[in-house]
Amino acid sequence: MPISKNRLYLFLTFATLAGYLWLGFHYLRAAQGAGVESVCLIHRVTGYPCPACGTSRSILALLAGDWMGALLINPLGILMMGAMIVLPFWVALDLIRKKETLYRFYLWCEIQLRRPRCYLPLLLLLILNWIWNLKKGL
Amino acid sequence: MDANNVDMFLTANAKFLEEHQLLFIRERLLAMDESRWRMLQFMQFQDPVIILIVSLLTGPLAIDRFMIGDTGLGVIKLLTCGGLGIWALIDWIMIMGITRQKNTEKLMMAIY
Repeated sequence: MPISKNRLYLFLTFATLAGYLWLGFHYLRAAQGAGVESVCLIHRVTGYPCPACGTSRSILALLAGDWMGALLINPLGILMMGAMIVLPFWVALDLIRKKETLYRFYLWCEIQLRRPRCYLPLLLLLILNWIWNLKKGL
Repeated sequence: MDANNVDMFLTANAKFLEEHQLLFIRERLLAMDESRWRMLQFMQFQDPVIILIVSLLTGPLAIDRFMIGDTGLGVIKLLTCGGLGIWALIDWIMIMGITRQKNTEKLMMAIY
């Protein structure tokens, strides 16, 4: 059985909030000239980046107006920034209008992602991004 | 269903299921039609220990979540480096229970 609607909305709200707190913390640190602390377990243990490593740095570059830099650090940063902007509004709109469009979209995505013709290209892209991350040595 | 068959099924699969549901599942299986025994006999469950090992080794890649069928949450976990590492740590503790819960839901779907 998939996650319930209320749990998903609560989870997404909490996750977005945590993301903004994390970004805010690093935005202030960046103003003092400090870099981003890696909390990725894979990066900490092995020293090699995971596919999503560099997302925070990418978003910070975006916030500084450096689109190209953000894309070069990790393209997933742009995706995550988009999600972080859209999701709170989507959750709020659904709650106000008492609808479940986001929940339906989530369930639809889950079904699509289980189909090989959907997940294989995405997996390939992610692996290519990972290889790129390894080459860059994030 | 025959009590011997039910007990055999539960002996083999109890470790994959939620403990507090076992008595209820037993009652339900006993009341079930004999013809569904074959279907039950070949049901496959995810082993919580295997999922825990996968979670310990590849937590931030969310392979554990994908294995138990949480595709949506898996993608979120993967794209956030295991929820900034915190979610990956929490999953080390929670994933065995979640796996048993998923297995129980799968069995419930089959016997209802």
